[in-house]
Amino acid sequence: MKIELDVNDRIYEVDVEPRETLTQVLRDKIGLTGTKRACDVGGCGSCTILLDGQAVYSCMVFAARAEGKKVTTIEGLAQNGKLHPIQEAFIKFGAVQCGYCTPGMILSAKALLDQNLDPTEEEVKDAIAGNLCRCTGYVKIVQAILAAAEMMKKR
Amino acid sequence: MKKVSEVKEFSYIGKRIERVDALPKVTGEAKYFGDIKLPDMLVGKILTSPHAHAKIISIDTSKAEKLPGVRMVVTSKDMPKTPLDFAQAQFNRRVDLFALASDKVRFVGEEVAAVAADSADIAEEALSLIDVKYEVLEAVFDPEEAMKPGAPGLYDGVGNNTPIYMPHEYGDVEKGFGEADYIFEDEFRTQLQYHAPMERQGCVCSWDVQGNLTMWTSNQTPHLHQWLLATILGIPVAKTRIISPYVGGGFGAKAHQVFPFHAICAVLAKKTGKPVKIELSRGEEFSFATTSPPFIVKLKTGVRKDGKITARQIRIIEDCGAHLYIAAGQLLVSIYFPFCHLYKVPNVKYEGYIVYTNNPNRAVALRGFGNPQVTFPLESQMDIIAEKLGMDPVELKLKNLFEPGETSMLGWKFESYGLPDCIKKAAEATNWSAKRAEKIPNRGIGMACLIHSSGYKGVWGSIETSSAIIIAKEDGSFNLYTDFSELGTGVWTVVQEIAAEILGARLEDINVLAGDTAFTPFDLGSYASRGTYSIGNAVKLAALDMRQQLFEVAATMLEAGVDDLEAKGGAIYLKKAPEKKSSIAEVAYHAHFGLGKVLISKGIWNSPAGLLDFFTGVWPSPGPVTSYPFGCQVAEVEVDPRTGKVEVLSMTAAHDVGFPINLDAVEGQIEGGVVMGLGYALTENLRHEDGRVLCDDFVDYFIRRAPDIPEIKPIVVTTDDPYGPFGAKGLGEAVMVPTAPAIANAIYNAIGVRIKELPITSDKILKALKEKR
Repeated sequence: MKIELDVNDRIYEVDVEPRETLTQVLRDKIGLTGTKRACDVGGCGSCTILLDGQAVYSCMVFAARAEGKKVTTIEGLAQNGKLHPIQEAFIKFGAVQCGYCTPGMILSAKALLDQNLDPTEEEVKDAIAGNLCRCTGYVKIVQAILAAAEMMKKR
Repeated sequence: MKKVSEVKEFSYIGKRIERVDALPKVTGEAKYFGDIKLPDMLVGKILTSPHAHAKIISIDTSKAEKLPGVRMVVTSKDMPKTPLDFAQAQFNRRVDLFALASDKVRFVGEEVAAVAADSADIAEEALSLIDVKYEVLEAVFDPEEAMKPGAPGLYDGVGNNTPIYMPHEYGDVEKGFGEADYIFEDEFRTQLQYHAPMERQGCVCSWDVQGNLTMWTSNQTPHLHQWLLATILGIPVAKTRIISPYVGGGFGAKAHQVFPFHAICAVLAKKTGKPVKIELSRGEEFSFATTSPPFIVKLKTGVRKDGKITARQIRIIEDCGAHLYIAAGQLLVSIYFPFCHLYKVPNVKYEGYIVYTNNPNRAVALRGFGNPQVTFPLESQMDIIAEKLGMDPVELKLKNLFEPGETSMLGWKFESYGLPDCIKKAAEATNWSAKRAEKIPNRGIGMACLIHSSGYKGVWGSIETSSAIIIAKEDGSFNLYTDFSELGTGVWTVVQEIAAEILGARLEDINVLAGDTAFTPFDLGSYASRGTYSIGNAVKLAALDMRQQLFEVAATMLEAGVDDLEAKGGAIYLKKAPEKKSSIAEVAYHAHFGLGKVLISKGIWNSPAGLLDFFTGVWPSPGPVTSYPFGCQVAEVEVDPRTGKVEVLSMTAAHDVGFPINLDAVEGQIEGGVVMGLGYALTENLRHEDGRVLCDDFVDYFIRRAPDIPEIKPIVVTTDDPYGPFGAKGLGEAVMVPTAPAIANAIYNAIGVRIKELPITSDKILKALKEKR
């Protein structure tokens, strides 16, 4: 069935099957491979995208259900070549190692900071509790998100 | 040459440098093999054995072949005859790994047949149409049972399912035990830890009409993979291309091993004439079961009243599952590193058994490579000994260390030896003595140390090689070519820093081109914590050569001698008159368009480490490694005696890295390694029953999430190693080696129970508390 998806402020017309997930359609049909698929069963967070600003596992969303909503993937964060403060902070604070959890992690952080620019360390950890990382031990990721909050407050 | 730590004015070395690969990763632009989509690409899927041990009577693929959309079905007759583990044959004295099973299956998950089809759904359906007739055989899952006469035999001609038995003695342990005032004998067990990299395994294969094969994959050792794959397939190495720049986590799972799925994918692509992608689902990853092999360790130590260890004896049983993979290397590392060299012991004896079972684990390398499996028993027992002697563990450890610059019985020499410093700094930072005296109920503090390697001469034949090429472009920007994939350790940034520092260029002028065998030089790749050390040294040599070439051109431009020149910040200038300078851009331009020079340099690093004399069991100094990293971790825990739950309050990790090239990357490795070590200690266990893996997602196999991390305090200890680039040593594995025993010792300090089996789960603690009462 043909559906229209609003991804990163652009409308894509795609032919999907009812059982296809948003991860599948984003990666395999639209070609936005920034969203990762580390488990595909809602267990790791690497497929995290924003659906109307809320962080969700795209592998747990049927693509057809995303019609009429705003989908934000990692590719949609930088605006006109300018990085989002969270992206800048991840680079600056050494929060990226193998990079596979990074897109999902950044989007979970964005969902938090769009609501709350004064999170405690606990609140940051809770916001990314659904994003597994095997490399960093999360320490610099948390530092980067707190720093990004400061940067966003100033702007 | 100045001692590295005396140079106050490095531009990049020792600082916090932004990673060169971070921008592609935070924008989603970095492409991993699973992101590759080629026209007409088929999906490959593999049929695996449902039985732990069975004869294959027949395989009928006819129905599968007829399914519309199926392009190819293969079985063992279509696979190369060269075994996938041919490179280990000399060491293992046998081969046992083939792409697809022919007469027998020996574990649940063993590859039996494969299909390539237009879609994943069709491929799955085709698998269900392949009819395999098995004659189920009795299986054995307990390695101690498997060793007994009469146990079901996995391979003909391998008596007692024990393909490898390694015994040796240095000194005289009988005499040593005779000199001891106390003898300690303890048994410890470790579990299957799964690497759990975020990026799943697999590959994409595509052949062109001239017989060139390109494989996109997630691999830590592209050149080794290239050579292994070409040899297995029987094609020239030069016609084989491995592309693997970004790797979403390796930890040893993706190193120096062609797996069945690699060979199967290449054959399917060749036979169909189309690109084929095989990607293990996460559930398949869990049953694929790359793990650290579990060890059963019997450790006997003799100690004098004054704390000096007089003799040590160890018996290890290593369950390698149905294939040897690299189990033997892990056995030896566990013996030579922690058992023989964490402490100075004048008499040591070891017996190592590698045992075949029908368990589903594949004994590939996992961070530490056998070291965690023996450091856990060793450092746990040191704690037991300290308590018996009424000594502080710190005092007992310091009493049994090597002297700096001392050569061991086995010929090992530690030119840089930060272990005493690591112990003292970790103890100081955690207020060790005060906390040990405090005795707050249910709270405890525990310590464990480590020795590890920077590369290891002998894991791969007799070489320890890395190489790099640097090309200066006409405008003074540089291309730096290295085989090394970026696993996340930060090696691309390390080589960028080293090149920029030596060339006097700006960081942004160094363009790292890596992880593709088509345009990078031979290297053993990323394993044994050799990254910074080996490729760092190769890049250093290449940069020194390039610097010389640039200076020779600059010397003519500035009318000076080469020795009068210095370079920094993108310019080459006279030391005595810095205002007389040329930019590297001007020099490079003049070289090309004025002098007709082409600026290419290379650096080839062959570690001057020694090779084991198998007859005497001794190495020429300094041993198989020139630069040994050391470390000490201290854990603070609180245990709830009602539930057995362990809360780790803090982990302090002091690591002797020689010299930190990129401070952020060093801390990142320590933080990540400690958290992975916490998993090894407390929660991770790839459980299996009757040969079947019981975990198939991250709910069953629990790795730490952000809310579960303790406070982590990294302490970087510098010792200016004379062999490492800018004094640097390896770190990637060391960070996970002592974590489990530090936690086990802290738990004992908290509630007085000693758990000798990993992971230390709450049920084990509750059982031990019950027995205590």
